[in-house]
Amino acid sequence: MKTVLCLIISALAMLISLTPAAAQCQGRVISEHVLGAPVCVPMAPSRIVVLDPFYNLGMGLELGLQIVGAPLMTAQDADLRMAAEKASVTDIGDARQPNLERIVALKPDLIIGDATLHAQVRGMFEKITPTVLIDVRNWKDHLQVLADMTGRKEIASELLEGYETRVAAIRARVPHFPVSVLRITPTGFHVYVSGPAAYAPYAVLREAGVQRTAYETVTDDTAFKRPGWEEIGLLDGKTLLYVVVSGYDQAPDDALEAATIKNPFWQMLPAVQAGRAYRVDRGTWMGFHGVASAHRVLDDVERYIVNAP
Amino acid sequence: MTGRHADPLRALGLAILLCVCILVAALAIGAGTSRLSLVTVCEAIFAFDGSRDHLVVTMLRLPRVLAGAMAGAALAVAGAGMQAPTGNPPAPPGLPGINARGALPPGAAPALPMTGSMSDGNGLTWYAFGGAATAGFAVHALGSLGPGGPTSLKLVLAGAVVGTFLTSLTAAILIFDQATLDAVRLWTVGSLSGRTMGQVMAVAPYIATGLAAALVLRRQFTTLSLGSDISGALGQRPLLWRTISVVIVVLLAGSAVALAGPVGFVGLVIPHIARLTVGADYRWIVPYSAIGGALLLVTADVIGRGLFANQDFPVGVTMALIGAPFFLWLARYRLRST
Amino acid sequence: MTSLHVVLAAALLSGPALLLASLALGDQTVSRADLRSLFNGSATEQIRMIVLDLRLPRALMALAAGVALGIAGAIAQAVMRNPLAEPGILGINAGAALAGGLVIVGLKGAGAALLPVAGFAGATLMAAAVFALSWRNGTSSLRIVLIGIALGSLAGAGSSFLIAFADVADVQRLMIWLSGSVYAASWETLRRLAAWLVLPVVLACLAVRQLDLMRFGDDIAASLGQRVNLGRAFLILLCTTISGATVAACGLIGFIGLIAPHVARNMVGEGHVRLIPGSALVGGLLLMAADLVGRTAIAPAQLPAGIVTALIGAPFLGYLLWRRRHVGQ
Repeated sequence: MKTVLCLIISALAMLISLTPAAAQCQGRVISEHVLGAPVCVPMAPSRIVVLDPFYNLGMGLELGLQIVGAPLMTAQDADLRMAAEKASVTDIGDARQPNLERIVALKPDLIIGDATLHAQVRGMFEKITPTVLIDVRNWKDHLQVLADMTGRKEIASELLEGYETRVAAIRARVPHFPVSVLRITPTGFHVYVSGPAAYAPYAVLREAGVQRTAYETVTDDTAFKRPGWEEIGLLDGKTLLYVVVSGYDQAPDDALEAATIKNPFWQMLPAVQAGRAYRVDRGTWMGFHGVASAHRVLDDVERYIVNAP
Repeated sequence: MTGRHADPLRALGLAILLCVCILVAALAIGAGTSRLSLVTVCEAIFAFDGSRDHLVVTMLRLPRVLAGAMAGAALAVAGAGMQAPTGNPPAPPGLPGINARGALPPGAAPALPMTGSMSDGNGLTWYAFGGAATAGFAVHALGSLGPGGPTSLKLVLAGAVVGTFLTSLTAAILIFDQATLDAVRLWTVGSLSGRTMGQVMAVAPYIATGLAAALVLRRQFTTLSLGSDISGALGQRPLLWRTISVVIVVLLAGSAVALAGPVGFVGLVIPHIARLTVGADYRWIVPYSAIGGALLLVTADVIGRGLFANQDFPVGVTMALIGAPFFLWLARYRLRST
Repeated sequence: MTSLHVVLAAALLSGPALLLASLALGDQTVSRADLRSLFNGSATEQIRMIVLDLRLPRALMALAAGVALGIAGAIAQAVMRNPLAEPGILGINAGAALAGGLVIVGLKGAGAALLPVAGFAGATLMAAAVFALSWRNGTSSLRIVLIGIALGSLAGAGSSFLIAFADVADVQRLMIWLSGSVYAASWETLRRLAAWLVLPVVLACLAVRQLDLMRFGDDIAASLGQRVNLGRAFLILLCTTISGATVAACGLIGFIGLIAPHVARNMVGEGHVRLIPGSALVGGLLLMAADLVGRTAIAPAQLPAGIVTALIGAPFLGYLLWRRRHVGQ
């Protein structure tokens, strides 16, 4: 017994006395909008690993960054995944627990992640290479931080300028009646509201001058609401756009839509009665990943709101 | 209340309880985003005219309240039935084992090829029921190992073990699938939101059968609860009746989970209160539990809806908030030590 | 008992073997030549980082956590006098889960550093509440179990509420933490865990006599000179500290505390002098194996070790109990 005790104690004591290694850095200093600022990143990163398949991957590809690894396993948007694979991006697993060994093997010189998803394990990545966890809410700010960090300011400005011009043009033509947007899921409705913390596609909607109903507009940090069948009567916009998301797999979406529009409460919606209810693509409205996504949202605005009969 | 002379009193009490239950149910139907009067509710049920208010009653509120009542009755009677073979409380089916089981199949179902019918919730119901049944048997099997058969303590612990296993299985599937997680997580805490008449009707025959069986076999439960020695001496075959009671319990608990998700504590609180009020005779405990359970769950749901107007407060959480303190009180003051 | 010695030898040898396997196996291939190159200093930067900074601390963390959980499990089963008991019954896991959930959902990114503290605090507070509520002229094992389950359900309802209404991204981070993982093992966290564990483990080893006495029931133990309630309180405190430290480091890992004592009991018998180290050894090996499986089975994704232990654990437990079904308690 005593020997075993001694063994356990000495093992633990040895573990306690082990010392870890340290790391140095040089290059560009990022001091705003990132977790654990200031962070030093290389001046011209040429092997970048991104830790999420949304903003960082989508915008990274748009800015022409040299991305070598991304968590493609959990990428929701098939187009994005195809684009990534075409750009020879290696799959590093799941966005929340990316495979560290694969990242090491890719020999990155910069890792870019998201503050909310990866704050807990930042230390792990920093051991491999300088790591930046971007911490902004607005998608446009995210694009700019990403661009500043990697020396792509001009490309970002160009992209945003194109977007702003188009938005301004659409804003001038958008009719002034409320529009409702709704997401149908198997267990209820989700309404992404228009407010300071709005999810990107809905922020784009607001910038395009599209008005939402009183129920769908907030001034606080709510991102979405869950109305029941009784409450969807409050979504009384003249036009209704709806996204159908039944699960990871897209196949049952149609059946879910059919079951929903049969319901008398759905048929009592003013937009449905006027024949102005349109289904929109879930990839665009639920998998926002960059300026291209913003343009797809604007396409929908033009098609269903501005140019609709 | 003891003795034969108290029987008319108990019958009266039962009738009063039934009336209260119906009244509360009607009020619950009237409560919600738009408050509807009792008159409107009655008109909607008996003189339906297709108006919006009537649709709200028949399509949304009535199924929800019915589901609550049925699930509550089923859980309470299942709880009473579970206490019989184990001699004495507390051994509620509302605890981990059987309930956590209900949570796995909906998580697994989307991972398997989904058919169109799944999206309206009916398929989900049957997966839940199948899962609950399997879990129930697993818990009972695990808890019966070792000498002494299924004591309440062993069943409770076995329930915890099976529950943890199944929760982990659920987590394993949900962790990688954000969309499914989003769809399923409200259900996993026990909720009556969005229940349709179709779902209610699908499960009703099973709950009805279970309740009827429990009512018919009330005397056997009483004998069973006296312990295997005495019941054996009275000519009852313990293994047979224990199996029958397990089947009835699983049928009722599984149906309740299929309808409302994993709602806990009903099966503990109600039979206990029933026992305290009418004594240990299962002829009365079963009917009192059934109505008491229906009343409790409907009330808990209305409280939740009242407190959180725009969000759907899951009834499972309300029941835990009511039931856990009761369970605590029981464990602290009413337990006979082993 | 030569068969006992054989079994023990096998167990002790599998330790280093498993460690070596953990270092060699994984998403990136590390050959024997690579491992040898580590020793003579000629390894590449990548190999050194993968083996020494990622795999080695992770394997050692799994070992340390497994040892801790094995010991905590043996204590829990002795205190509650039931082979189906484990530290989670004391509501430890539920309390840690709720506290962790509140931090993750409430504090978003900033909460990351607080998570271990919250987990530990939640676990301790819950265990204290369970103990306090079950004190009524002393405690009884049954009361502790039932109150633990009641409070655990309450905490579970709270967590469920968070899961149902919080942001989906937050919920997923919470679920990852809840499933228990050694993904983020580093030398720093390892040192911290080891520091926390030294004292409680030593005390547990010294308390073997108390543990043995608890098995006989309150009356006999008292007549043999044990201060029953004090002893129980102390042992629960020990169990909580050990489990709490593990939760703080790795999240919730279940079933090790349940299975390890059983396996150890089959190998070395009931006496706690042998059972505590035996449980520790078995627990450590089990968790190391579970983590190895978790990170290689579905690469590049990782299955948290806590889930692997649960998936293997319950059927394994069923099998163990089935084999012992005729043995008296």
